[in-house]
Amino acid sequence: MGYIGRNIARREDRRLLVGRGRFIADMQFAGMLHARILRSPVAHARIKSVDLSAALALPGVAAAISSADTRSLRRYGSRHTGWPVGDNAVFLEDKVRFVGDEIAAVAAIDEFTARDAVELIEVDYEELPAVVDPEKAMADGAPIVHDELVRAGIIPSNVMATKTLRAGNIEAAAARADVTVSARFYCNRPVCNPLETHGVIALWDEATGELTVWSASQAVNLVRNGLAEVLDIPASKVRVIAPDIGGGFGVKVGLFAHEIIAALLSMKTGRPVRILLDRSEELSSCTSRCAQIRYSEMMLDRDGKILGWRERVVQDQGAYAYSGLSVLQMGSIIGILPYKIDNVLIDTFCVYTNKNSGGAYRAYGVPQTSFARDSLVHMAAKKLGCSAEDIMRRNIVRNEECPKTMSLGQIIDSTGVDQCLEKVVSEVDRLGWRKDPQPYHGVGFSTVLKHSSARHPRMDYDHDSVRVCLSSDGSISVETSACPQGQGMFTTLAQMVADRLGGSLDSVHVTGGDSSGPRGLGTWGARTITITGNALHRACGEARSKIAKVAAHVLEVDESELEIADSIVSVKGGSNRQLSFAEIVGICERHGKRLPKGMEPGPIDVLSSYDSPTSNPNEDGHANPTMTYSGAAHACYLKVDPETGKVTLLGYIMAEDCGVAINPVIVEGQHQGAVAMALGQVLYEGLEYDEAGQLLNSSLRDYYVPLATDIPDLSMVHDCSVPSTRTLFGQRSAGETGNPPPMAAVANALEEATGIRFTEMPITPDKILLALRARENAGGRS
Amino acid sequence: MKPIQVSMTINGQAQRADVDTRTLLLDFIRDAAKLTGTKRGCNEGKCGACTVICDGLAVKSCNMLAATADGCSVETVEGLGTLKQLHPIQEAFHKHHGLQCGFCTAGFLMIAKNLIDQGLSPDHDDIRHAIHGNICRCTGYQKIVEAISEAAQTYLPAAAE
Repeated sequence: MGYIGRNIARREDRRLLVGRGRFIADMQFAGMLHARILRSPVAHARIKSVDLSAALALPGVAAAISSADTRSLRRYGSRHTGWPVGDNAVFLEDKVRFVGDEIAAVAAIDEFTARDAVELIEVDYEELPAVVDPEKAMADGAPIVHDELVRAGIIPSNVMATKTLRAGNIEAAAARADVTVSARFYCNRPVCNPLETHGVIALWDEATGELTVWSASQAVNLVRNGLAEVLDIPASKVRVIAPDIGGGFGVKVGLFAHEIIAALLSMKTGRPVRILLDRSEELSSCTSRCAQIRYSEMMLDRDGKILGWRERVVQDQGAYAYSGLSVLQMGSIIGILPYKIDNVLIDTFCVYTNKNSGGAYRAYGVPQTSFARDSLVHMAAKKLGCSAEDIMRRNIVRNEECPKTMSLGQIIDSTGVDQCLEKVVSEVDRLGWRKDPQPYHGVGFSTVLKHSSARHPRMDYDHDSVRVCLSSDGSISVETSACPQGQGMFTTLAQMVADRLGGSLDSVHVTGGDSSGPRGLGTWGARTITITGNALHRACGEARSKIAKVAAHVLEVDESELEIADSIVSVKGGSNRQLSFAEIVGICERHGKRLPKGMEPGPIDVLSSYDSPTSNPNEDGHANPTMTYSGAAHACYLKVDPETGKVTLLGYIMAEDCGVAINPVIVEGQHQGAVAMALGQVLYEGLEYDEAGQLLNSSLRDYYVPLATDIPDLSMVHDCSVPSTRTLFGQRSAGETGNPPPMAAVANALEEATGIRFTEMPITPDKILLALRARENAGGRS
Repeated sequence: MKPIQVSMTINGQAQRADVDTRTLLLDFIRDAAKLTGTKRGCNEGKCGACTVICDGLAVKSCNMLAATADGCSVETVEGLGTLKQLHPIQEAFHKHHGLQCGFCTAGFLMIAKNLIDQGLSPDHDDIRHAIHGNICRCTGYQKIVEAISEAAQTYLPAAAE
């Protein structure tokens, strides 16, 4: 007992450290072909013809496909929209909708040949005007991205969905308010950019009709079901395996075109086919953070109580729906937390444009709302003559009020977020960051309560499964539906198994990432620790009770007299009467006569599932989409060089509540990583498109990812955890909670440093410099 | 394309192969020498996942043709420790949780070895500058810096050889 809460060194590390990790690019199969995808160089065009003949004639080319090969395939992508047909398909309707959209693909004996062959494909484009600005895309007469969906009557225009979230009476709140602050916020379009790009190997066995796919995926069961549907083959014959995954952060959730293309090429050639996306494809063609324009308005009384929150949100969805609609709705519902706001009106519009599609990205919509929320808190504080933290304190939900149902139906079971806020404020003061204000230096704060699992607004299920099976040597295999990408989940889950089951940590072997294992949705939305964790709690509980029952019977004592630790069941009180797990398994499997009456002989092999008791939004958008909420408050200390606009981060403090931390050092690593990614978004990153929809930064030479010299010391992580009362170990998520607060914390610190409010991310040096110069020219502070 | 013959020493072992002239050092290491610990993150010299040590200098192996490395002595992650006996730098990464997904790790280990082999006592700022050609998307760099800092104090290159 007692593995939970300890800094157990990760079991994942050793093989990765010596270069023995097994990523998609490291796998070899006899006869394997290498495929490349021809992608659109233009934002919007009808494909009049695709001529593959020159490509096919190149020696070494085994197969090539274009829309002629895919017209009979089922469309996909309706999981999040709920439409009768999906808005996506491979080479859909002979049209391209963004720079990077797929047109054709070639499989060849090696990568070079495949690249050469793709160059030989001739495409006749009929270019169409592109729609790039989401607000212009909403106007009458705008070019239509999915004209086929409009013709079918599924959507009226580029506005693919609208939803209003409401609570209380916003008009009354507006009338009562002493102070109102508002702004137009722009949340940019960064891409997750895991160091390992997407990749897939497909292997079709024509004789058995089995399709085996290795994919860098966070959700093997979603890919399996998607492939079976699209290709119209039985799901029972599709197996998807995620080997080592080099980072995900959301961008590897769900079915992607390259997975289908690899399967099609394998079916066509009868050989294994690999597709490795290169970095420019990772930037241009996988999904990005959902860019949003938020017209946000906060109403307060003179004491700083937030009376109302009103927003009009336009999401720049890009070309396909993916999970964008869920991001928009969940992010709006959850993002207004942790403040108690009784009167809310949020009108959301999700709009197609000719760009890379918005999808899942660490923290799923909450950063967008958080940026607006705490920027407005800071602006309100200026108007009220108080500090931002005063307003945060005045409105934050406190643990002693919990369980508390908030205005949009969010149920806060318990929380440490109030403590987090106190902690960062006191740390800032202890470190004296605000004691002697220096010119162009500033400190900013922000808070968050973020989901710890994610029931998508249109999905009726939210489950994971865990199978616990003991072998005759007493070792414990734990198969899970988790698909981790670096989070150290197998170490963390092993600690939970060892404690719950009473097994020794070394005897626990945890696996995941295989669709032939237990069913579940995968590792995303901060859900593995909570949903898989709860399934694990159930499975181990059942296995443990069987172990105890057998041991009590054989040792002839009452179950209450037993203790279980380190894979040994012993009679309490120092007696030497004991049975090892190996002996108990032996009795169960091979000596059925020694079992208690009525117990079936056989292995100790338990499969348990857990589906979260969460809800989908009602007509007013009220929902509690998550098991529980992890909380955080951050403080950022920075300086601005007035000559160059360059921002230097001088210090960063995090206080976080992840409930019971299973492995504190892993939790800390998650927070640090989440903050660094967020600092990238707020200061540097984002896809940039010109007016014709041409992507301007599809290379890491142009798309800037923060480096070690950009990120400050992140060692100041404070644990303010309060156990969750809704999860079975008291656990909450850790991987995403650190991501939302840096957005507003940085913007608020920048206002303290410069007196200027920046509302558009990324807040790059050129924007800062231009704003400083503009103020100088207007005769302001120099 | 006409193949050319390239030979080099990788981790002390002679390697020779006939390769396409376009072949990068990274491809030679991964495909010809079958050492897949060195990773391709961007293929444009920006992410550093493919960092190896070539004749004593840390290089991005995607930025160098295999032919350019002809006759060179190359060190890759496979030349550090083994599963049973980690190199002190690997041990420090393990102890300090200096890796998450592990895809960038080989590059960081090699740049760290190259830094430590210079025999200086780098502080955190020195380390951050030394690794600023390598991208890690998981860790926020903090624990990598801490790991390298400890390795620099505990691992004396001469003694470890």
